[in-house]
Amino acid sequence: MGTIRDYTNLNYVIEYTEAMKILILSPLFPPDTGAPAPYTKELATRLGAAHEVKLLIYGYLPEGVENVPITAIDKRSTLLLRLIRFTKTLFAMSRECELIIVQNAPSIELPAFLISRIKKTPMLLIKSDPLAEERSKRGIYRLLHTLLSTRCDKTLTLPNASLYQKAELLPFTEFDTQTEAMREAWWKQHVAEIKV
Amino acid sequence: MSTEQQRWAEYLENELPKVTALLTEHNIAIDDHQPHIKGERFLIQSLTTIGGRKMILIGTDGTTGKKVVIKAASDYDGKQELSHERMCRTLLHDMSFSYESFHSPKELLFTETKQYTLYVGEFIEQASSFLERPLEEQFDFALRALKAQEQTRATTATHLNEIQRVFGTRNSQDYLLMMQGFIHTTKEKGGSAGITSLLEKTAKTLETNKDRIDQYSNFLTHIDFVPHNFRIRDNTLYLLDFSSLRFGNKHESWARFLNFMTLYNRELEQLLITYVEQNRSFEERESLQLLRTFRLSELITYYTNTLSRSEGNLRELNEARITFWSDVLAAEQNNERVATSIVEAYKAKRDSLRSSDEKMRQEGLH
Repeated sequence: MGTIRDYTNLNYVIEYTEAMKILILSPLFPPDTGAPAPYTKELATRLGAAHEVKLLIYGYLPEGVENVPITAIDKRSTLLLRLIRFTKTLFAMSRECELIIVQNAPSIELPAFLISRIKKTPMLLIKSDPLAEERSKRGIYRLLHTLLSTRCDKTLTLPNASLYQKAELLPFTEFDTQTEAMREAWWKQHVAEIKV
Repeated sequence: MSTEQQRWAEYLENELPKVTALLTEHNIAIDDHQPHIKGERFLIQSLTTIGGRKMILIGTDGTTGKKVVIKAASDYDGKQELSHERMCRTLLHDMSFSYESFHSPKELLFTETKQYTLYVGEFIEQASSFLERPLEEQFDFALRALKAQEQTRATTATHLNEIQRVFGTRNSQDYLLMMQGFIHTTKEKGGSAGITSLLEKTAKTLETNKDRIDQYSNFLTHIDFVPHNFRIRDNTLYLLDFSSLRFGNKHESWARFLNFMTLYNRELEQLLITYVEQNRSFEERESLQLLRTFRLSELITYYTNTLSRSEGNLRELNEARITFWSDVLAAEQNNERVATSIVEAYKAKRDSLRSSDEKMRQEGLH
């Protein structure tokens, strides 16, 4: 276990000396499209190399990630039903984990907030979806987002996707090794920030 | 002339003057040269869509002096197809979950009289056809258009409700049913045991990999994504045929395009395959391969179906087509590309058997 409760400032400090049990929640995952999908796959791949990572996502027949079990909640049921299923599964899966990575989307924020009322597992909010971020500035979404943000131990906002998304190998374009090196550096720093 | 060809000629003789008169009322004149109603047009009817009989004509708008494209139909299926295409075009632009927009030629007139459904749209002038462009441009346009389709996926019950009635959806079960239909038709129309066994092998592979097919289903996909269904102007690709849009496995459009390029541009075919292998997951590559074999089976069945409706050189050509596409399918079943010598031999035979009208129809088409 790498979790030490720091009672001085009531923050969780997680050491990286040992592998952590991490649960990543995502509204989208490949083959679905949208900003959080490729990001989550790469995050899980990178974290999965050093930690015990599990994924809880919305989707149907997601693409695989080596050594990372994925639980997918089918979105083709009604909104209420899928929210209940996600919350129930999150409750069960959060028993074993030491860190929950939550991504900004109402369908993730609501279950995560409800679970946070019952369990004290550290939570890290990653703002990976600019469209959801825009939506969370209005009405009920705003309230939900604020409630969850208050509960989360740390918040990270992702930069423009071009900085972290894998550049494609294209036949008539020279591969930009400099940009690739910058991307790699960003990921190293980002993964190091995955702690609360 | 085959019975089918005779019927088409009679249809044109009867319909063309009426459509011309109707267009005159709207100050539109049709050109003397009409390539899209000639050659093998009479045989063209998709296997997996309800294709009605319609005329595609080129004309000039008397008010603006600009070239226009006219689609006219008088039979029930043809009229339905034109109305359906219009609905698809409208819904595609208004869809709530589409991340990409598609460019379509401006609609200038859509009218439904007692006898006809008539569409008149802007003619997209292009500096050169798709295949005349440099390979780099072809790759860039093709990839952009394929990616644009992939950006739209119906993932929730609400999305599916929004699109189901207009576009229709296809999952592994539907593909397997269609495959059974291909096998049945091929047997019924006297297809050889070798071809039937090829199709049965494909069906078996699809059945074994149902999950892989479903994994990439519910995406927007153009089932007839080939160069004659789009035109390029000012670096923008315009989709011409909206009736072939479906929500199905996203590699349906990729597969159709790659199979087409086996015949027309092997370099482009290989570049796109390499792109998928280098940039996409192995699951995607597998799904693409499955859909390629499905679409090839469809093509073989299509030509088997035309045998009874063609005679003379055209029948001989259709037989050569069946043999050629079966060779392609046999190679693709092993994830291999058919030998260039087979492609070249087929092309030579095709060119020697095509009618002059068909050669004219093909000019600048792709």
